[in-house]
Amino acid sequence: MAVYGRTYRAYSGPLTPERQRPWVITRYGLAELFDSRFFLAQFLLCFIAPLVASIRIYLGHNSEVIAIFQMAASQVEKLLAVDAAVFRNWVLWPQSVLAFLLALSAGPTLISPDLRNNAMPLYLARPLSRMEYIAGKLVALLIPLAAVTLAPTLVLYLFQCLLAGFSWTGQNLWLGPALAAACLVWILALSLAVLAISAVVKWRPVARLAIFILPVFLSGAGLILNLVLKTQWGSLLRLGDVLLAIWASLLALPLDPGSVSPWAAWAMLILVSALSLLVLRLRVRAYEVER
Amino acid sequence: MSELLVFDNVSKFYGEVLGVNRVNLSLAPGITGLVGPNGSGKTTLMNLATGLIQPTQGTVTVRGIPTSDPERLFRLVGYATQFDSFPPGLTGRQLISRYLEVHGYPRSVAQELTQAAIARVGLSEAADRRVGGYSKGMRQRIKLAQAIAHDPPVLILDEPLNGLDPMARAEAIQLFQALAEAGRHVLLSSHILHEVDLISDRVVLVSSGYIVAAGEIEGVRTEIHDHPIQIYVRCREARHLAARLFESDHLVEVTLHEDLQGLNARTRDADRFYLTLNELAASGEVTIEGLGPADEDVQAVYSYLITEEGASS
Amino acid sequence: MTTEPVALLPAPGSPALRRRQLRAVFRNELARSFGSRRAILLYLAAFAPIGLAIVVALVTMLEPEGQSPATASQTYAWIYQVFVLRLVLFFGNVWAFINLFRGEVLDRSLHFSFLTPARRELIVLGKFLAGVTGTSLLFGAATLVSYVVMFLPFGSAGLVDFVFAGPGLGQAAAYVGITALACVGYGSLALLLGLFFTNSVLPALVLFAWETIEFLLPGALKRVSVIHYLKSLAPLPLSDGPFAIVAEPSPAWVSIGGLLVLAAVLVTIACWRARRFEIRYGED
Repeated sequence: MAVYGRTYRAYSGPLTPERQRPWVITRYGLAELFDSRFFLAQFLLCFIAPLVASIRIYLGHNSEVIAIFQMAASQVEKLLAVDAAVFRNWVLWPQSVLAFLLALSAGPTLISPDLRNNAMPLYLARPLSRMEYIAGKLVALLIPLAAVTLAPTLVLYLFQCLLAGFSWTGQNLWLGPALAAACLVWILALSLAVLAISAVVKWRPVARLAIFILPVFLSGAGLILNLVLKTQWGSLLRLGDVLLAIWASLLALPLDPGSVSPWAAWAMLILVSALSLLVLRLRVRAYEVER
Repeated sequence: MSELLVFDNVSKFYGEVLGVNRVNLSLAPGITGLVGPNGSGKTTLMNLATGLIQPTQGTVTVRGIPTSDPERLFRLVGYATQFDSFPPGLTGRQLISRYLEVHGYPRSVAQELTQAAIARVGLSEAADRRVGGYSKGMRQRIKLAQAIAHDPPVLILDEPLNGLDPMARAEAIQLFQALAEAGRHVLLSSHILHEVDLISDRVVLVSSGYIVAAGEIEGVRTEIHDHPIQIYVRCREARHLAARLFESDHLVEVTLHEDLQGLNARTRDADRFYLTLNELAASGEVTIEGLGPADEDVQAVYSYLITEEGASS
Repeated sequence: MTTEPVALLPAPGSPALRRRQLRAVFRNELARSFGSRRAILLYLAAFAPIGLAIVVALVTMLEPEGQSPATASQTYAWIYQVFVLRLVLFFGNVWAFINLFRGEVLDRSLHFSFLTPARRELIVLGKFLAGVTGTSLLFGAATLVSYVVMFLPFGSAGLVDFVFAGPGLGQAAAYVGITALACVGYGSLALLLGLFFTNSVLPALVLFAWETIEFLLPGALKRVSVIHYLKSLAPLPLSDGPFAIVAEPSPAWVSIGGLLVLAAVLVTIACWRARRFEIRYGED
């Protein structure tokens, strides 16, 4: 038809290489996340805790401050010493809680609107597989989560190395990768779980509620099981306890009394991640059957 | 009898966004077409008329009943909204009969009325399927059935022909005409003037939240007749064609296409334009590859009716 | 049909018509909220205490030493007050009652109700009653079943003894009653959240935080929480821990009457809000 001849020109420019196509999803996912002022504010607030932790590390190396304490040097050293436990308590733990809150805001905006608005056929009608779509969304969530957990943790580790000198660095060379692994394990499992919930519950606010309720519910059930049955297995339902056990195994820290075994905690985390992946595979598809 | 539908100095603002402004309108019985481009305020007017939203200022009444009195209002009014969504999990039959029971009909009567409404819109075969699995046209028809099920004397239909195939469209138009002949009053909206022209006794033209014109359809038709229309022509000899067309006095403006393989011509007399074109083609002066109206939609008519330039030409 | 359909209806505003409409809204809402796929989460939540009771009962059967109906009763008090009351009933009711209106807004189907010749107050009331009936039946049954499951390891004789000759029957009735009251109290609050807030999740979480820290609050502030009145009715009072600020539990008549009055006030506000509610389905 003449009208097409006049207006339509087939695109003949360069195409994005096949391997980079999922990053288009990531790019737009990130743009959408950071479009929200609330998310941006929340993201920036996540850096307050590392700032406090950096002061804590700095104090440990400042002789003038140490002098203020007017205690025996060995006592002060012990008080301000920086080790794996300090990183867990001052950096990993607060940043992981903040990462959860960040995921609570960001996760439901990634997949549920696409399902709700029937956008899945549009995505998957492109040369893009379901797994590439999931990977694109996953990375969009992982990037801000890594920015508030992995990045500050490693920066603080390097800061400590710089202040403590070669001796401490040599003894704690293993700690850097261990801290990185501790962050990655948490944010990967969290992202998968949050995306899975976002893929099951189509409504953003409802998905947000579900992401909040689920750990609270399981935590309550775990607490009851521990209390009533005088056992520790209930802790496997408690996200915080599972995380602490895994970190203890990675950071060579002693387990809290009554903690679950690290192997059981690892098994639980892997199970949850596998289930999340399965849910994502089942839910992310180009059609929906109306029964 | 009171006027069918009265808007008395009605304004509606969504925050700082204007929905409709200072609307004074009084609609008489018969079929009235509410015409306007997308976003002009048609749905806002209909939602105001049914109390789904409240005016920021002014009052709306249907046969003297304020929209804040649903008990009396919805005995009189059936509204097929533009929302293309339904309670999940319901079949077409359940959708209609459940809400008829909320009207107060006993279950057996509700089922009887449901069956009649579904048959009237030609959905009997799909009545027991879930609405979620319906096609766009079927969803339009089930909305229509829901609006007419309690046989209201006043029907408000928001874009009722959207998504219907030509056959269903013709059937729906027949249904509206039959309802009007049976004494029902129908207010329907559309952004396609031609559609409304076919059905309505009178039209109300809405643009950017204001009523632009209201009255008998003939008046609007005359206005449109005076409106220069734009026609596109694809041919290799576009420059030559432009030169020849300028020889006739009905031509207002010619724009050549970027590739010089065609032109857009604005004319005051489409019949004479096509005649000239025929003569040129028959004489072999130009080889026409394609032609057609370039602006035969309501938007173009609007820009003519509401702009000063249009008004003065 | 030869007569005009409208002739088959009672006069507008007549009690007969309103009774019919209330019944229809109630039936529709019950089917929508408790018979749809969305209700699966409610059923899962209701099953949670039963699942927990089953685990406890199995462990009791495997290690019966030191266990008796009295200890099971104490254990159930923990399960009920820590898990059922604070989590299952709170979130279950928030879910169910926010859904009454906000769910329909999210589904973009609320206009179907608002286009019927029924007063909006009646629609609110019908939906609320359906919510209370559905959640009370569901969570009441879950409470009863989980309570009974706790005593199964002691055999039918032990169960019958504890229930009919001991305090069992009274306790079971008290737990079911508290559950129903929780549905009324939390339900009316959640109904209001669903009508007032586009994103009802955030205020629901604030409410959850308030109910959670109730044990830390001074006596006067405790009385501004639902959980305080529900706990006051519990058959076996539990310690709130070393950090709790202890306050006198409210008498039963205050707790029951207070919650019912609160619900009546909140439903009245919800009716007022519904009259002004505009159908403007925006972004979720």
